[in-house]
Amino acid sequence: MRRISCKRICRPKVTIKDIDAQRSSNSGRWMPVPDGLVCSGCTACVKICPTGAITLKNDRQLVFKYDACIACRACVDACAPGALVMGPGIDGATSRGALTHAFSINKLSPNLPEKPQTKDAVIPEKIKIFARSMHVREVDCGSCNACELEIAAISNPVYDAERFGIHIVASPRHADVLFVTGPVTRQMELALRKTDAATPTPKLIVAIGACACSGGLFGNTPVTGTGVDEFIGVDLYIPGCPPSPRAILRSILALRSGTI
Amino acid sequence: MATTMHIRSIKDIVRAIDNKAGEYAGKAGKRPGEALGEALGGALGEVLIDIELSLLPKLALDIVDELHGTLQFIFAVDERSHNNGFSLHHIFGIPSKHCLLHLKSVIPADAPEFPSLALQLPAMNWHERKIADMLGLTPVGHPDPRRLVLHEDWPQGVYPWRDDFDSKQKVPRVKGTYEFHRIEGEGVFEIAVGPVHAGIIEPGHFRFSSVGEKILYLELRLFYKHRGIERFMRGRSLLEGALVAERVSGDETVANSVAYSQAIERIFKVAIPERAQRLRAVFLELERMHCHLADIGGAATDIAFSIGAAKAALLREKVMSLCEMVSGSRFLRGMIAPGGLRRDIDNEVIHRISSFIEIALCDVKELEATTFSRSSVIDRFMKTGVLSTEHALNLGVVGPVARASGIAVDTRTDYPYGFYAMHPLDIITRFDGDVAARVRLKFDEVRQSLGIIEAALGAIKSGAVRTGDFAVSSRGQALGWVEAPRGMTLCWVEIDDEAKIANCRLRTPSFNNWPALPYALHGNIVPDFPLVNKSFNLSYAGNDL
Repeated sequence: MRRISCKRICRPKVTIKDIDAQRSSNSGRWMPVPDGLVCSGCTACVKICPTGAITLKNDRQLVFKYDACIACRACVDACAPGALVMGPGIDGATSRGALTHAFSINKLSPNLPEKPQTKDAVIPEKIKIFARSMHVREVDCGSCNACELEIAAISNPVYDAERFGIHIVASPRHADVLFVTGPVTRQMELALRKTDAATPTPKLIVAIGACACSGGLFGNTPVTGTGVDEFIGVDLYIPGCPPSPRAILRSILALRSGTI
Repeated sequence: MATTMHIRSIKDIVRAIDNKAGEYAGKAGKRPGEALGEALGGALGEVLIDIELSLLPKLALDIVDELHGTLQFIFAVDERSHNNGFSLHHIFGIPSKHCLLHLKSVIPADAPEFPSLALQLPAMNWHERKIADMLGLTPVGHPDPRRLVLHEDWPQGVYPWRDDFDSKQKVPRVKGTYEFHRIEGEGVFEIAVGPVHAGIIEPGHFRFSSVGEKILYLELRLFYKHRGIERFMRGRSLLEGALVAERVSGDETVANSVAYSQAIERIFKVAIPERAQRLRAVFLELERMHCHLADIGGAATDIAFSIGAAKAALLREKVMSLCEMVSGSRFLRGMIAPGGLRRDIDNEVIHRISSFIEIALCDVKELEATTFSRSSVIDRFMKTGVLSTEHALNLGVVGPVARASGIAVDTRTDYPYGFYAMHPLDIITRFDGDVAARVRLKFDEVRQSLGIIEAALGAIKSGAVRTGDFAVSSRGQALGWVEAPRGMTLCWVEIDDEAKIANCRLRTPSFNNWPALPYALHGNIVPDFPLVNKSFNLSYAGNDL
């Protein structure tokens, strides 16, 4: 067997490209995107969307709120001209606004607007200190357990989050980062607030999944909230229902390297 | 739909079931399940009988004693607007007759109470308390009248399942504390765990009363994740209902959406195409595989057996990637809808699933050899968390947990539906009832699932995968049932005149199995709790709804 070099064991500078290199043809973060065909403006997609993630603005722009998208394909199936397809989806963002994309209905472009890349990204100090090591505590506030299974999967031998210095810990006292899932149910609200208070600052709060980002399908009922940011501040929103382990890792690495 | 004959005793019920069986016997079919199985995707299945509320206690006990039925599900519906009362539904499984007996009685609006049977039939305990919380119907004589689903900060007299509940309001919080059962004695102390746990798992509170390391008593306090799903279903379109059902419990995505879809198909009397039946079975078994493998890996993690955990995680990841390749979703979301499948899959994809079977069989064999060849594993697994057959029977336990305690129950065989009506299965059972039995059973079931996938894909023909017209409707109700990875899932749906969901009640296997966990733990040591809990593999989301 070949000798394993230190470089292979300790890879402090693993980048998003390394994760990209592992991507198979199916990235699994499929979300509806326009495919360049002409939209008839029939609003079938707006009407059928179960979470209200699609709106028509001024009869000229189709606005997708990806923080609320549950990737159910209802809009793609309903689109008569076939102007919507399931695309690769989008990664996390630091605000819900950045997860909203508007497309002109006269020319539905498949390209999501990209943030201009700068060579020396300015990484906020709060994020910079976690650039190589993140201790994570997960709090489930009413998800369906799919997000938990995907978060658990980032530590498996395939995705191996430990190589990026991402380590799951048992107590909020040991944590730098809280992963929060679910729309925050009435009966978990107190536990979430207490866990947040028990986590020492500086800390990052990451909302994972459509429910945590916006309430998703189950949000805003007498027993559920409208996402994590109704209760505590959120630093990173990772959309998807559920986001795949790859999407979760990509989003966190992007946050650390200042590319989002 | 309900039998109109007047029911007075258990004999009338047997006659009603036999009459219905006779109706189906006229149609072609070798086994009782087969005739309707081909036509409607179900066995003799649901037999709905109207009874008087006063006869209920006697009948329920007779069904359990004489027909060897097990209580599966109790729910109630507010029908004051058109029926002057609440309807109370008891669903018993009677495997010997391949029948799910559905007893419906009416509770008058001016006397909102019903006789509790929780003392005689402990399986009814949680079901009756849930009805009390959600509808304000009092189970008279219930031994434990505390709140269950809604915690103490929920105001008295506000019942989410009643028609007059405003689902837009914000319900105020009130002061209240939950009274735990106290175990007293010299050296007895309490350990409080949760709702936020150390691992990446769902929230729930466990209160151990122990002496030294030994657990004397465990009290569960769950429902932190209550999302009000059953109320949320009201007024949704049929497609939205399927999307909600998919998101009830992550690793039961297919099972819950198939149970829901089968209920809708039975209301509309739609028989789905054979290709859709076969592919549904493939998806159900893929889901069972990844759920069981997560469980096997979890048990290995909980005894710090890293190599087993890593191998199980790798194999599970292969299944998840396969699901992603098949459907674009690692949990097979967006595939199932009333009437069949939402879209077909390519023959090339089918070929790739078939070629995966051989690889998976090798991997499962290796994983099992790795796991059960270590003395450290055997030491921790054997005789840990024993659930006796008697407790399992009394508590109405379902799924692999019941089968590992020697009870031969399997929805796929007892009440065959879809592809399982064409493909009879053997029920795998083990008799020790300990963690080792449950883990070994799951290995056997993974292999069985691979066999089912092979059989379902072996003779698959091209054709339509969706059928039926669900636009025009009149009021109707039906039950759907599926063997989920954790056991029998039941979904009852009532639709209104506009093909929208009027009421939906869901019971996932976890709701029946959670109350059995403390019995398996009695006398075990606290450090074995995570292991026993994992071997039960209970869903919090599916339980809390």
